[in-house]
Amino acid sequence: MNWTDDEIDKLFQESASKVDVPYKDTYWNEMEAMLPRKKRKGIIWLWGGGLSFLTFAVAAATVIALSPVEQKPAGTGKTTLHSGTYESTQRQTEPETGIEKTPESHLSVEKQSEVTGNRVESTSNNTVKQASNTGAGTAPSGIITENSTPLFHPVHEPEATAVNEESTDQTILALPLNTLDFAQSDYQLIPMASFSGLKKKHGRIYVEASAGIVQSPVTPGSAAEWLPTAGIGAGYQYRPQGIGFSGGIALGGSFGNSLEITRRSKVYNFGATNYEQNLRYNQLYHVEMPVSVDFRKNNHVFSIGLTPTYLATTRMRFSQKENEAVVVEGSYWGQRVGLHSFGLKPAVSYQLSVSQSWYLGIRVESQLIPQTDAEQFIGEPARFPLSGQITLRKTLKY
Amino acid sequence: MHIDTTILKACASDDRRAQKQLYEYCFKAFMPLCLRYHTNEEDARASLNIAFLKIVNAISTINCEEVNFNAWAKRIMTNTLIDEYRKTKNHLSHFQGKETERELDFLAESTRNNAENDFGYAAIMKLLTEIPSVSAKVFNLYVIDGYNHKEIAEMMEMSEGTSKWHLSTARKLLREKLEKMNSDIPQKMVI
Repeated sequence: MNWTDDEIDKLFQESASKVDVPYKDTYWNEMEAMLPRKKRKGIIWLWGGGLSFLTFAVAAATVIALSPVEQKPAGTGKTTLHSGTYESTQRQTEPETGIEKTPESHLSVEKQSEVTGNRVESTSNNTVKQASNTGAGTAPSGIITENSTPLFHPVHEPEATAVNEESTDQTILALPLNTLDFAQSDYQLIPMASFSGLKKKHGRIYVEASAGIVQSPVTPGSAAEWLPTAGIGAGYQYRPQGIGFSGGIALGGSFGNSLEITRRSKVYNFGATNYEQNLRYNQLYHVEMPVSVDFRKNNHVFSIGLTPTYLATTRMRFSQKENEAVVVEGSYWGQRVGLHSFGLKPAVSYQLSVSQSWYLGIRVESQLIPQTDAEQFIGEPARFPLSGQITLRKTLKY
Repeated sequence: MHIDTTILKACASDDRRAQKQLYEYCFKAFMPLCLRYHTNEEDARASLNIAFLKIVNAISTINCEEVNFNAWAKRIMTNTLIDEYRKTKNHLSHFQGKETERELDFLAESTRNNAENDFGYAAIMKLLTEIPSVSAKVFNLYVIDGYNHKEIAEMMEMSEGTSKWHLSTARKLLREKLEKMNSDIPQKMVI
């Protein structure tokens, strides 16, 4: 039989359309290994959640530290509002009378009003020109009684001056100005928060060095492998008596040979070539941003915190063999094969104040986010690798 | 099996189950194409996987509603196969003579065995592996995939005249092999 060109073409076109190659599920496994890993939405939530928690914790600590505390000094029957933290450092009490005196230099708000006969005059604003009063030290009848609890802090008094001039007298009288006993006008106003004095007193810049051990994210053998680690950092700590917080930036490195990847492939051309690549990380460097809430008791400081981390660079030993012969070998910086960049470490620490500015401490951390693509490395992945470090912190005045 | 835009969109958003469905679809649709350009199934599947990886990476850049996925994917598959040919072209040409002489004997033997078992479509397609690979590729591109000589010349980095020569050579060799197959089968049946 003689085949024409058209017949040959037609035969092959038809055959090509009829060829059926059976599909096996195992093929997909090979393909899936080649696909880029799924986007790790969990990490975003973890980071977001962690940072939100920290923000909340720091804000709460700040509010607790700076919130006003109501006190009624014995024998005076008058109310004084002041900052709890301010009280601990600035307030002086006369032992005989129990009357508090506050240095004027620390007052950010001066006394706002005084009683002149039946008139209440505002010294800060003239919009409230005149207000009738039923008598010194008494509240207008039917509005607020003598024993009424003050509804607002005296610092807020200027709000009353915001009343429009066209407001009625009744409106002005309804303001709780009258709840104060103006006859005893020697009350003191203490600012709710004055950072000017506290900043120098409690804020410190710190520098810190740490050294310790960290559990390898991959365990090549049967037992966990511990790697030496060291770091330096600097930051700011605000630590009044009691609760405080600190945050900073640090560079940490871990050193070891447990992170190893071996890849083999066989390339068919005419004959087959066996390729083998070996990657062994021996240095990992992270940039860390530790944030913590501190609790101080005498010379002891306990902290809890979170440390977001970012893999800055690595040092890796690489070799490639072709048919058992080494063709490439050397050390390289900055490779990230099989490693993840971001991490998050919760931490607890204890520090002992060995002098006024030196703190010796111990810190324990755990890495929440896997730092390695476990499938690529030789060995079993560690779920939440721990690390323990001894820290030495020096605080500096500025 | 039908592939709809829902699956394509899911693939674009990195949905593994959708990607698996798409892979199964692509395997059935394009594995025969890959087999035509390779001498063994393992290599063909490697090419298919590389092309599928390109598809998955690029699928978010196309408008799934408007683009004909089959044509787009087939183009990626073909380009991948040709790219691989280009990468190994020097290597191939270096060994071409030896390969042709040595492998044709082997392949002729295996073809005879296949012909004894099944003179079907697969056996016919297998004849393409028995002719020089460049001629087989040109034949594939021109006759089965529908490219013209100009396009083939660009893809294969050769002149149009060379492309025509390879097509002619491929037809001639295939004709010989088909006639040989025809003549072998009755002999076997007589025996």
